[in-house]
Order: sequence, then C-alpha cells, then structure tokens
Amino acid sequence: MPITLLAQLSLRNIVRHRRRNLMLLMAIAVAVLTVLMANTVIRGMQYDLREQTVSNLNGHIKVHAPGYLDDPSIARGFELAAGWEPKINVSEVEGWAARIRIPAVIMSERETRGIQFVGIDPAQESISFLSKAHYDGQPLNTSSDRRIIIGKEMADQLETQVGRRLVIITQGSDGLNREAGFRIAGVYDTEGTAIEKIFVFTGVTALQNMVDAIVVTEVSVRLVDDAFQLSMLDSLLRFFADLEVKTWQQLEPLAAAFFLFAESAIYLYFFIIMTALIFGLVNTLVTSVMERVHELGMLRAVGMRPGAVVMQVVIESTFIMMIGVALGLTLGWLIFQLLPPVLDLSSFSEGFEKFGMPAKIHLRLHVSDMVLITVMSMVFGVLASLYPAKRAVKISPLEALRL
Amino acid sequence: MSDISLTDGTLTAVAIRPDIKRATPELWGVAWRNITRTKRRTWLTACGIAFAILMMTFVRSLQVGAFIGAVDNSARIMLGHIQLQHPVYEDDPAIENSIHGINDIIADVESRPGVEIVSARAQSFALTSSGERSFGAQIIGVQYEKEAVWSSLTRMQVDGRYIEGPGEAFIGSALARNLGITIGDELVILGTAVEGGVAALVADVVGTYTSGQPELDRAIVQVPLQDFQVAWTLAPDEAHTVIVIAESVADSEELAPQLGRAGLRSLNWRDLQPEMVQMMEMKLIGTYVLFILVAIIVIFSVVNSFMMIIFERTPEFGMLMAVGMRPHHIIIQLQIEALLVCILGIILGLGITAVGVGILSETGIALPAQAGELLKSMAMPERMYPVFSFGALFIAVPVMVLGTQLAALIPGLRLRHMHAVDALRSAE
Repeated sequence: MPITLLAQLSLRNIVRHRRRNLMLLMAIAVAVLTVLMANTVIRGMQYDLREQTVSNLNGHIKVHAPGYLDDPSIARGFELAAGWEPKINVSEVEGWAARIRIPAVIMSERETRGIQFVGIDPAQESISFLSKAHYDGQPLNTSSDRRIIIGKEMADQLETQVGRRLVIITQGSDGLNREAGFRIAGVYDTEGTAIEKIFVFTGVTALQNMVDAIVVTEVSVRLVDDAFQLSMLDSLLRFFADLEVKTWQQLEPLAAAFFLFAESAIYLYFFIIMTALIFGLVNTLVTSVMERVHELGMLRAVGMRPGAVVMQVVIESTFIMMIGVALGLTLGWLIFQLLPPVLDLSSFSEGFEKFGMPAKIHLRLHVSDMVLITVMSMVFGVLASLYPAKRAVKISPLEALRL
Repeated sequence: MSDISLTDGTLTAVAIRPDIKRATPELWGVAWRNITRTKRRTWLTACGIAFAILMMTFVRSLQVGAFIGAVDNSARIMLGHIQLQHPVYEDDPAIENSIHGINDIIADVESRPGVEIVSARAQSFALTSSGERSFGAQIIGVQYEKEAVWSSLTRMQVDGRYIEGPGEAFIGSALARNLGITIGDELVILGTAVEGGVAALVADVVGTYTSGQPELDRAIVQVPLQDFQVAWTLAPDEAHTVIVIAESVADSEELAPQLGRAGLRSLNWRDLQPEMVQMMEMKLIGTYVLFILVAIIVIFSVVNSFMMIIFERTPEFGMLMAVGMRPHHIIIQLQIEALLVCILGIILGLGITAVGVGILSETGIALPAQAGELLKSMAMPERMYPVFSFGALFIAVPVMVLGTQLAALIPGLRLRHMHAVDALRSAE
C-alpha cells in the first residue's frame, strides 16, 4: 500500500476527531514548551557558569610553573621577555594576561584576613571579570600603580573604604616576609561574594618590586570561542614546554562537573515531562483504534496487510506529535523573545553562590536543542504508537465485520 | 416532597434535592461499574495521575532525604547541629564575645534527651608561621577527646593523627602545603588576645586532613582548648561556642529553642547552614514547578479521556435521560467516575512511593562514585536515605483531585443542554 495513501488515511482520522485531538495537541504543545523553557534556563546556567569560571582569572587556558598549584609562592614564578605573547592562532585569541598571584595577609586597623594578592597589568584585564565589575572609587591605572583594589565583601569585613590604607604581608623571593602599606584606589563589586572575599589587586610591577623578583606566576589566555580550546592547548603545550599548561576544566573540576551535569539535566527534564504525556497519547490512540474496529476490519478484509495497519497508526501518532511539537516550539520561541534576556534570582543568590553559580541567568535558546527535542519527541511518538498498533493488528477481519 | 406538582417552576429545585440524595449511593455503584467497563482507559488515565503523584512524592522524598543527609553530614564535620554562643558572637566574632561557665552549660545540655555529645570551642583569627612562611588562619581551641568522637573532620584523609594531648596541632592539608610544613614540624601562631594583648602559641603539627572543601583545608588550625585559653588569656571555663551534636537533625530542631536563654544564643542548623536552607528552598520551588507542569499535562489527558467517554456514551446518556435522569445527574455521575479514577491513581502512585521509599530508607542509595568530588564539596554522605515527604503528599493529592474534577467537568458541561432524543439519535 503506498505510503501517501496511508498518510492520507491517518490525516483524515486526525481531522475526524478535531476536538479530542486538539486537546492532545495542546498537551503535547505544553509539554514541548515546558521542556524548551527548562532548557533555556539550564543552558543559561551552564554557559554562565563557564563564562564565570573563565573570567575568574582562569581564562580558557592558564600557564603556571611546575609545582605552583601545590605551592603557590613567588618562588614558583617564571620570567617573561618583553613582547612575550605567543603569536600562535592569533585569530582565535581574545587576549592574554600575565599576573603574579601569591597568598598574603591583609590588615586593617580592626581586622586581619588571608587573601590572594594579585599583580596585574590593567590594560590586559579586559579578559577577566575586572573589566565588567562595578567600582566604588577607581580601577587601577597602569601596571606600576602602587594602590590596591579590594572586593566589596572584603571592604565590609575589614571595615574599611576607598582612600584608606591597609597593610599587606607577603613572602618575598628570598623567603623573608615583606610588609607594606597600600592605599585603596577602589572597591570592586561582582556578581557573588566568593571572589570579593579572596582577591586583592595591585599593579604587577609594583608587586614585583615588593617581592624583589621580575617574574610572573601565571599567564592566562582567553579565546574568541570555546571551540578553539583544544587546538590552542595543543599549541601552548609545545610553546611553553617547560611550564604547566592547564584548561579551566582541569583547574576548576567542580565547575567542569556541573557543566557536564547540566547536559544530563536536560535529558532528565525531557523524560519526566514526556512520560507524563505518553499516558494520554496512548489512551487517545488506543481509543481511536477501537473506534475504527469496523473500518480496520473491512480494510483487512479487502487485503490491507498487517504492516500497513501498523504503519497507519504509527503515522497517525507521528503526525499528532509533529504538529504538537511545531506548536510547542513556535510558542516557546515566541515566549523566549518576549522574556527579559536575564533572569534575576538574586533573592536566592546565596544558595547559588555557595556552588559558584551566578545569581543572574542569561537565558539561552540553542537551535541544536530545538532539533534534539524534535527528534526525541518523534521517537517518543513512535514508541507511544506501538501498543495501539499492536492492538490494531489483532483485529480479525471476520470478527470486526460481524460486530 | 417529590409528590408536589412539578408544574410549579419555583418548586422544581426543591423537588430535585431529595431525589439526588436518594440516588447518590446508586450513582457510586454505577460509576464504579462504568470505570471497570473500560479497564484499559481507566488504567492509562490512572497511570498518568499516578505518575504525577509519584513524581512529586518520590522526588521530594529523595530530595528531603538528600538534604537531611547533607545537613547531618555537614553538621558532623565541624559545625554541629546546634551552637550556643554569646548573643552577638555570630555577627561580631570578637575574642571578647565569649561565654563563661561552659562546664555547667555542657553538663546541663548533655543531660537532655536527644543529645549525643556536647563540646566547647574557642576561636580567633591569627597568623600562622613555619620557618619563613606565614599565612592567616582560623585557630580553633577544641576539646579534642570529644571532637575525636564526633567530628568526622578528624578522620578525613588524615596524614599522621588527631590531637591527643597538649602542645599539638591538627591542620588543613592545603595550609600545611602553603606553609611548607610536614608532620612533626613546629607551627608558630601569633594572634591578638583579650584587650589587645599578644597571643602566642607554639604547637607541633601531628596531623593534616583533606576534607575536599577548600575553605576548611586552607585556613583552619585546631589546637587543644586549654592551650588556646592560656595563649589568648581566656578563663578556664570560657569559650566562644558550645557545639551540640543531637541524635538526629529532627531531634536538634526540637532541642534548639529549649537551649537558648539570657546571655546565650542558640543557633540551629538553619542558622549555621543558611546556604543549605536556600538550596533546599530553590529545589522545592523547582520541584513544585515541575510537578505543576506534569499535573497540567496529565490533566489535559484526563480531559481528553472524558471527552472520549462522553462521545462514546452519548446514546446511553440519551437513554438514561429518556427514563427520567436529569443532565446534572449525569454530570455528577461523571464527576464521581473522575474521582474514582483519581483515587485509583493516587493509591497506585502513593503505593509505589511508599514501597520505594520504604525499601530505600532501609538500604539507602549508594551515590555514584564518579560524582565524588562534586558531592564531597556539597557535604553529601556516601549513601542517601530517602525520607517520606508528607508536605509533598498534602500538595500533590489535592492538586490532582481538584485537577481531575475540573478535567471531567469541562467536557461534562456540554451535557447540560443535551436532549434525550438527539443523544439517542447519535447512536445511529
């Protein structure tokens, strides 16, 4: 039996029970819409987490001296010549930054805290969160700026403010402690407080002078697109052969684990929602088969093969699913256009920040996810039609006609 | 009353009421027969309802179990279930904001039911040095005999051993690495004692621990409480917190409000682990949203199901109306059928949840080893024991009952205007 004829039959069966099938279509559309919306939130969280991890001084790839990660001291620094930026894969690179990052102790008149003291060249920090942070006071000017900038949370803890002086103690290259006073140029405010509690910044040259070593402890590179990470890693492993080259995933395994976990969360939502849907779908399909016992019996009697009966039910299910999915995706896409691009969850932010997640979610809609949802829904549609199809095949022509 | 002439329109409504009352038990019987008549459809619809109930109650039971497990685990690492402190210590952890008479407090709390063990701590931020290197760290004076019993930190990937006597220190592995210290080395601690005096302490590092939580591994030094009291010039019965370990999280919730009094603030696990409370609320909202969406989809299928029922049984309804049944009787009967299907779904869903949670709360669920790092950072225990969530039950059941009633009513309302003759004719 030609497939076009079967398709025609299936379509006619759907149209015949408009109201009932409309209800089913709405259920499918709501299900698809739900899955799509959950998807935009999960994808948003996933990509925001990556963005945050990359811009938290990690970059896509970071270079250290061997042993620095276990023993982060100035003794594990390395020298960089002028114009050190590698001229590799230039079009893939957004920027490079060389920094010193060493542990230190900071003291105000009232409080003492342990910190990460970071020497930066402000011109290079367009690749990190520093370029997007809000400042009370000013950011640093140059790499020889001798002032410091501290996080808002740190300023609260130390009960200090812009313009005040703080004392910082850290270890010099000879292993002896150095102590120096620094004036606060600005207080930075980022999403989340975890960073604000840890990092204190000054000019890299100023910090080199303090510790008596013309070295840096890390070089970060930020890429134009995440897709370039592997090839860049490969090039850098060769370029910095004596040093340790690591990706953000290696440096922040927790964030990397969450990034992967988000992928399974997307499938999980799909299966929960679709399972809720499948009972109604099977119910409708079985009813529509049982209503047509006469008709199917007749068709069988005049020579329709069991395979064709199965096909007819499968096509019917697929048709309904297809229209429902198209409806759901279109609706989802429209809602996505109407939603604000950033979902603000700051009232729950502490819980998020505990796990390094941002309080604001930049919603994302991927075309590839829409395709994935469509394909998976179709598979579900076919699966849902198997039982009704089996029931349809069981109809014996003789019995059906005798009824 | 039913013998009053029905020609008087004003009396019609009055006349019908006893009629319904009399008929209701029969309606239930007929409804039951009707839903058993179409077994396949009844079961498919009930399964959908059961799935929604199962989704909500089972998932919540897992979540509540996971959270209670994480809260308990976290409490038993370092925080305790309850902490008793000076009223302002939580907001201003200054060395002066201490509590006195800790021995009496401990004796009193330990005598209460539901309490496992109680110990005191004193703490302050100080500079720790070894050789030429210095780092800031939280110094905690502990009653080490007691901490060794309850604090799982003392058993977490320990190199060396836990404190066994005065003059010893137990520190985080990251701090040890940063200080370039190994077991047996001397650690010099310099801090600010009461009234601005200098607190100095030298201790032998006898062990290091790795908890997997960076903030614990990087910045904590434990020393014996007496050593701390001497160095920071505290009195022998003076400390900053009294840590209470209850027999369970539930016990601690009952205990916490009883333990506070004038000059002594009682913090329960919600105060001590606020981020856990927020995570729990976020998960709760997420699960409610998912449940409502699943419920909507299931209710759509119930509407569908009743549309099919009405379509199929229209001739039958026509017959019933022809012999004197009123449209609202038929609607009531359909509502009863919806209720019965819903009850079937609820029993099925709750049954699976009860059996599942019952079994799993005994055996526990082993959490996947691959997620080890992730779970450790969230203080998750290795096995999770679900706890039946009555909260979820009280939400899921009413939502599904009301939802199915509404779902049956939507197509049912058409019957109001149905006429017996048209209905009977539709069979042809």
